[in-house]
Amino acid sequence: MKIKFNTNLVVNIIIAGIAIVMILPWLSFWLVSKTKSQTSTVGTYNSWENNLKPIDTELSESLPYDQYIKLKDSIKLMRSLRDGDEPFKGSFTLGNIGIFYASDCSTCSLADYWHHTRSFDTKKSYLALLGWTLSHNDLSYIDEGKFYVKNGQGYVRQALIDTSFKKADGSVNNRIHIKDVPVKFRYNHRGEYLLIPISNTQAHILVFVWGISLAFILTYLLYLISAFLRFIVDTSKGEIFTDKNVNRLKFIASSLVGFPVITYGLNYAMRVIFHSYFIPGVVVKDNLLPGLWMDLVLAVIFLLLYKAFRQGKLLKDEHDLTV
Amino acid sequence: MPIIVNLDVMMAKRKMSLTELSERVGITMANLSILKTGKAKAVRLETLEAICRVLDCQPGDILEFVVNE
Repeated sequence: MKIKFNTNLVVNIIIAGIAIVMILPWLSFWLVSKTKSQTSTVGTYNSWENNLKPIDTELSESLPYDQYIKLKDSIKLMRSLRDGDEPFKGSFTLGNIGIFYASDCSTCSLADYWHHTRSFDTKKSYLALLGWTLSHNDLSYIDEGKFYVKNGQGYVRQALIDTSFKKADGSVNNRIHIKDVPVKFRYNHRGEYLLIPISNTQAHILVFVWGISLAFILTYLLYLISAFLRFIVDTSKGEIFTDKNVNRLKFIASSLVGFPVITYGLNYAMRVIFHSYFIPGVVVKDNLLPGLWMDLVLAVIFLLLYKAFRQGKLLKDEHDLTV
Repeated sequence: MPIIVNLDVMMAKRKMSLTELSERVGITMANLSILKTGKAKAVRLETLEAICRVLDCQPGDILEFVVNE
């Protein structure tokens, strides 16, 4: 069977890109499984140096079940309060960035929480970076990559490989030590994203800027939707290959291309702006890419529609001006 | 455009109006107007044939090529 290639460069690039995206996951899965099968006969041995207590208090398994569950929930709640996971009213997000308000509760107790013996109205402001999260190494250490607050200071417990050497039989020996790395950021465990501390004034300014941006974005979205609806209405009326329809398709395609570019770019811009807050364990969230891929696929479809309609308009004009 | 349509010159020579020409040639006044004003992108040979038959002229009398400087 003879394969005929399209002579248009843009179409060839798009087809190649789609083929790579479809084949890549299978290829990486095959490579990973092949690597694992090759190394399955030899092992990785870790020796641990850990002088740190577990982040959460360990409970005795001899406790009655109800008591065990109650205590476990209390420990969870305590950590949640101290880590600042409980949001205040007014917290909101726009895309991958938001403003998060949490109560200042790094030294409070459960009794304070249940009996309201102190005010929980003092709130701290944070810039929420929803596109960034803490990674976990596959080193079978339960507290690895966990964030916690102690005495008002945030820490990330990391398992760091000091030395790693390969033996003659192919096995790998790692010497790992556990360390609490002090960090300048906070971390929301529920949403699994980073929080950069900011002043309340900065938060108010950002909220104001966000409000104006949201108004612009909503107006832009309404305009985008109306362009698509008017395109459908004009097409159903028989006015298909018109300048207006061509421009509408161009507008929709460029918006769909621009949105993931801006979202991704803004996410990485945060890394550059707040580089002093980032540590090696901070990574881009997994769920950021799949959503952007959908936008790009839609953008490609509308881009091709725009090219087709533009060509159609040229042919129609030629036909209309043929006497 | 390098091709100039001298339809109005021939119409004046033959003392024919646009309405009469469109009726005799069999195309709409709108299309004839497009041709007369030089906005046409193409002319069908059958249209050119009909115009030449009605105006009793050659295609060269209606279409003139002028080089753009």
